[in-house]
Amino acid sequence: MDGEIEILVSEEEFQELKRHKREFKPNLNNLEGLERTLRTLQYRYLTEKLTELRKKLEEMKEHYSSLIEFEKMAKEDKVYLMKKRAELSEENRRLEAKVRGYEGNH
Amino acid sequence: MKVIISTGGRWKKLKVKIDDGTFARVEEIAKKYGFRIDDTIKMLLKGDFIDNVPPEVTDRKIEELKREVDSLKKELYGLEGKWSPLKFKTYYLAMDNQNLAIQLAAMIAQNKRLRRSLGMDEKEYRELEEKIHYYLNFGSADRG
Repeated sequence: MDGEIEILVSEEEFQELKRHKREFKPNLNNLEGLERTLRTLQYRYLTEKLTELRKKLEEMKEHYSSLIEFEKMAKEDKVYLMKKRAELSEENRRLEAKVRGYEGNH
Repeated sequence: MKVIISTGGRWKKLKVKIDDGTFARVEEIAKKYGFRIDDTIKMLLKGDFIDNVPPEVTDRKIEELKREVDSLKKELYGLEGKWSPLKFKTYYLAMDNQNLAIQLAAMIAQNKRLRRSLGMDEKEYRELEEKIHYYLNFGSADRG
Protein backbone atom coordinates (compact mmCIF):
# COMPACT_ATOMS: atom_id res chain seq x y z
CA MET A 1 0.00 0.00 0.00
CA ASP A 2 1.42 3.37 -0.99
CA GLY A 3 0.88 5.86 1.82
CA GLU A 4 1.79 9.47 2.10
CA ILE A 5 3.09 11.50 5.00
CA GLU A 6 3.55 15.25 5.04
CA ILE A 7 6.10 16.80 7.30
CA LEU A 8 5.86 20.51 7.98
CA VAL A 9 9.16 22.27 8.51
CA SER A 10 10.36 25.84 8.96
CA GLU A 11 11.84 27.71 6.03
CA GLU A 12 15.30 27.34 7.55
CA GLU A 13 14.89 23.60 8.00
CA PHE A 14 13.52 23.27 4.48
CA GLN A 15 16.62 24.91 3.04
CA GLU A 16 18.83 22.70 5.16
CA LEU A 17 17.06 19.56 3.96
CA LYS A 18 17.27 20.81 0.39
CA ARG A 19 21.02 21.14 0.77
CA HIS A 20 21.20 17.53 1.91
CA LYS A 21 18.97 16.22 -0.88
CA ARG A 22 21.76 14.25 -2.54
CA GLU A 23 22.51 12.49 0.71
CA PHE A 24 18.95 11.31 1.23
CA LYS A 25 19.53 7.98 -0.46
CA PRO A 26 22.67 6.92 1.44
CA ASN A 27 21.19 8.27 4.67
CA LEU A 28 18.04 6.21 4.19
CA ASN A 29 20.21 3.13 4.09
CA ASN A 30 21.93 4.03 7.32
CA LEU A 31 19.29 2.79 9.74
CA GLU A 32 22.01 1.56 12.01
CA GLY A 33 23.27 5.13 12.31
CA LEU A 34 19.74 6.31 13.04
CA GLU A 35 19.24 3.72 15.76
CA ARG A 36 22.61 4.49 17.30
CA THR A 37 21.76 8.20 17.29
CA LEU A 38 18.33 7.84 18.84
CA ARG A 39 19.69 5.43 21.43
CA THR A 40 22.40 7.94 22.37
CA LEU A 41 19.93 10.83 22.50
CA GLN A 42 17.60 8.86 24.71
CA TYR A 43 20.51 7.86 26.94
CA ARG A 44 21.51 11.52 27.30
CA TYR A 45 17.94 12.53 28.02
CA LEU A 46 17.56 9.86 30.69
CA THR A 47 20.85 10.62 32.42
CA GLU A 48 19.98 14.34 32.50
CA LYS A 49 16.49 13.54 33.79
CA LEU A 50 17.99 11.32 36.47
CA THR A 51 20.37 14.05 37.64
CA GLU A 52 17.52 16.56 37.70
CA LEU A 53 15.24 14.18 39.64
CA ARG A 54 17.98 13.34 42.17
CA LYS A 55 18.55 17.06 42.79
CA LYS A 56 14.83 17.75 43.12
CA LEU A 57 14.36 14.82 45.48
CA GLU A 58 17.27 15.96 47.63
CA GLU A 59 15.78 19.47 47.85
CA MET A 60 12.35 18.06 48.59
CA LYS A 61 13.74 15.87 51.37
CA GLU A 62 15.46 18.89 52.92
CA HIS A 63 12.26 20.96 52.73
CA TYR A 64 10.27 18.13 54.17
CA SER A 65 12.57 17.55 57.11
CA SER A 66 12.74 21.27 57.90
CA LEU A 67 8.95 21.36 57.79
CA ILE A 68 8.79 18.43 60.22
CA GLU A 69 11.18 20.27 62.54
CA PHE A 70 9.13 23.44 62.24
CA GLU A 71 5.93 21.55 63.04
CA LYS A 72 7.53 20.09 66.16
CA MET A 73 8.75 23.53 67.29
CA ALA A 74 5.40 25.21 66.54
CA LYS A 75 3.51 22.54 68.51
CA GLU A 76 5.79 23.02 71.52
CA ASP A 77 5.51 26.80 71.16
CA LYS A 78 1.74 26.59 71.10
CA VAL A 79 1.74 24.71 74.41
CA TYR A 80 4.21 27.24 75.86
CA LEU A 81 2.27 30.28 74.61
CA MET A 82 -1.03 28.91 75.94
CA LYS A 83 0.55 28.24 79.32
CA LYS A 84 1.95 31.78 79.43
CA ARG A 85 -1.42 33.20 78.39
CA ALA A 86 -3.12 31.38 81.27
CA GLU A 87 -0.44 32.56 83.72
CA LEU A 88 -0.56 36.16 82.57
CA SER A 89 -4.34 36.18 82.52
CA GLU A 90 -4.43 34.97 86.10
CA GLU A 91 -1.73 37.42 87.22
CA ASN A 92 -3.31 40.38 85.45
CA ARG A 93 -6.70 39.54 86.96
CA ARG A 94 -5.09 39.47 90.40
CA LEU A 95 -3.18 42.71 89.86
CA GLU A 96 -6.28 44.39 88.42
CA ALA A 97 -8.19 43.46 91.60
CA LYS A 98 -5.36 44.86 93.70
CA VAL A 99 -5.36 48.11 91.73
CA ARG A 100 -9.14 48.38 92.09
CA GLY A 101 -8.87 47.67 95.84
CA TYR A 102 -6.12 50.25 96.15
CA GLU A 103 -8.17 52.85 94.26
CA GLY A 104 -11.26 52.04 96.43
CA ASN A 105 -9.27 52.70 99.62
CA HIS A 106 -8.08 56.10 98.41
CA MET B 1 5.77 5.58 1.62
CA LYS B 2 5.87 8.98 0.01
CA VAL B 3 7.25 11.64 2.31
CA ILE B 4 6.41 15.23 1.43
CA ILE B 5 8.39 17.90 3.20
CA SER B 6 6.92 21.37 3.01
CA THR B 7 6.88 24.71 4.72
CA GLY B 8 3.09 24.75 4.50
CA GLY B 9 3.12 26.77 1.30
CA ARG B 10 1.96 25.50 -2.05
CA TRP B 11 5.22 25.41 -3.95
CA LYS B 12 8.00 24.60 -1.58
CA LYS B 13 7.91 20.86 -1.40
CA LEU B 14 10.45 18.07 -1.29
CA LYS B 15 9.25 14.60 -2.13
CA VAL B 16 11.07 11.49 -0.99
CA LYS B 17 10.11 7.92 -1.58
CA ILE B 18 10.92 5.55 1.25
CA ASP B 19 10.29 1.88 0.65
CA ASP B 20 7.75 0.36 3.02
CA GLY B 21 10.21 -1.97 4.68
CA THR B 22 12.56 0.89 5.53
CA PHE B 23 9.69 3.09 6.66
CA ALA B 24 8.35 0.37 8.96
CA ARG B 25 11.80 -0.05 10.48
CA VAL B 26 12.16 3.74 10.96
CA GLU B 27 8.79 3.79 12.71
CA GLU B 28 9.88 0.91 14.91
CA ILE B 29 13.17 2.62 15.89
CA ALA B 30 11.40 5.94 16.58
CA LYS B 31 8.85 4.22 18.80
CA LYS B 32 11.50 2.21 20.63
CA TYR B 33 13.40 5.35 21.70
CA GLY B 34 10.34 7.58 22.16
CA PHE B 35 10.79 9.93 19.19
CA ARG B 36 8.16 11.36 16.88
CA ILE B 37 8.18 9.89 13.40
CA ASP B 38 8.46 13.28 11.64
CA ASP B 39 11.47 14.30 13.73
CA THR B 40 13.04 10.91 13.11
CA ILE B 41 12.58 11.15 9.34
CA LYS B 42 14.07 14.65 9.29
CA MET B 43 17.05 13.41 11.28
CA LEU B 44 17.46 10.44 8.97
CA LEU B 45 17.27 12.48 5.79
CA LYS B 46 19.75 15.07 7.06
CA GLY B 47 22.07 12.33 8.24
CA ASP B 48 22.30 13.92 11.66
CA PHE B 49 23.98 10.88 13.16
CA ILE B 50 26.05 10.59 16.29
CA ASP B 51 29.18 8.58 15.56
CA ASN B 52 31.23 8.54 18.73
CA VAL B 53 29.05 6.66 21.13
CA PRO B 54 30.41 5.79 24.58
CA PRO B 55 30.39 2.05 25.31
CA GLU B 56 27.93 2.41 28.21
CA VAL B 57 25.17 3.48 25.81
CA THR B 58 23.28 0.22 25.43
CA ASP B 59 19.61 -0.76 25.35
CA ARG B 60 20.13 -2.59 28.61
CA LYS B 61 21.51 0.51 30.30
CA ILE B 62 18.61 2.55 28.90
CA GLU B 63 16.11 0.15 30.45
CA GLU B 64 17.97 0.42 33.74
CA LEU B 65 17.88 4.25 33.56
CA LYS B 66 14.15 4.20 32.77
CA ARG B 67 13.47 2.06 35.81
CA GLU B 68 15.57 4.36 37.96
CA VAL B 69 13.77 7.46 36.62
CA ASP B 70 10.37 5.84 37.32
CA SER B 71 11.37 4.89 40.83
CA LEU B 72 12.67 8.40 41.63
CA LYS B 73 9.50 9.94 40.18
CA LYS B 74 7.39 7.69 42.41
CA GLU B 75 9.46 8.65 45.45
CA LEU B 76 9.16 12.33 44.56
CA TYR B 77 5.37 12.18 44.06
CA GLY B 78 5.04 10.31 47.33
CA LEU B 79 6.99 12.98 49.17
CA GLU B 80 5.08 15.78 47.46
CA GLY B 81 1.86 14.07 48.52
CA LYS B 82 2.97 14.11 52.16
CA TRP B 83 4.56 17.56 51.97
CA SER B 84 1.49 19.56 50.82
CA PRO B 85 -0.87 18.60 53.69
CA LEU B 86 1.96 19.02 56.20
CA LYS B 87 2.69 22.51 54.87
CA PHE B 88 -1.00 23.37 55.18
CA LYS B 89 -1.13 22.00 58.73
CA THR B 90 1.99 23.82 59.94
CA TYR B 91 0.81 27.08 58.36
CA TYR B 92 -2.39 26.98 60.42
CA LEU B 93 -0.41 25.98 63.50
CA ALA B 94 1.82 29.02 63.01
CA MET B 95 -1.29 31.20 62.51
CA ASP B 96 -2.67 29.92 65.85
CA ASN B 97 0.62 30.89 67.44
CA GLN B 98 0.46 34.29 65.76
CA ASN B 99 -2.98 34.88 67.32
CA LEU B 100 -1.63 33.82 70.70
CA ALA B 101 1.34 36.17 70.19
CA ILE B 102 -1.01 39.11 69.51
CA GLN B 103 -2.99 38.35 72.69
CA LEU B 104 0.18 37.89 74.72
CA ALA B 105 1.74 41.14 73.51
CA ALA B 106 -1.34 42.98 74.80
CA MET B 107 -1.29 41.02 78.06
CA ILE B 108 2.38 41.81 78.70
CA ALA B 109 1.69 45.51 78.12
CA GLN B 110 -1.22 45.29 80.57
CA ASN B 111 0.96 43.44 83.09
CA LYS B 112 3.65 46.13 82.89
CA ARG B 113 1.07 48.87 83.34
CA LEU B 114 -0.52 47.16 86.36
CA ARG B 115 2.84 46.47 87.99
CA ARG B 116 3.82 50.12 87.51
CA SER B 117 0.55 51.24 89.08
CA LEU B 118 1.23 49.05 92.09
CA GLY B 119 4.87 50.13 92.38
CA MET B 120 6.07 46.63 91.64
CA ASP B 121 9.18 45.68 89.66
CA GLU B 122 8.74 44.78 85.98
CA LYS B 123 8.85 41.09 85.17
CA GLU B 124 11.33 39.61 82.73
CA TYR B 125 9.58 38.30 79.58
CA ARG B 126 12.58 37.91 77.28
CA GLU B 127 11.99 34.35 76.15
CA LEU B 128 8.28 34.95 75.67
CA GLU B 129 8.89 38.22 73.85
CA GLU B 130 11.29 36.46 71.46
CA LYS B 131 8.58 33.93 70.60
CA ILE B 132 6.01 36.71 70.23
CA HIS B 133 8.33 38.60 67.90
CA TYR B 134 8.96 35.46 65.86
CA TYR B 135 5.28 34.67 65.34
CA LEU B 136 4.23 38.27 64.78
CA ASN B 137 6.70 38.37 61.90
CA PHE B 138 5.79 34.91 60.64
CA GLY B 139 5.11 34.88 56.91
CA SER B 140 6.56 38.33 56.26
CA ALA B 141 9.78 36.74 54.94
CA ASP B 142 7.71 34.57 52.52
CA ARG B 143 5.82 37.58 51.30
CA GLY B 144 8.98 39.67 50.94
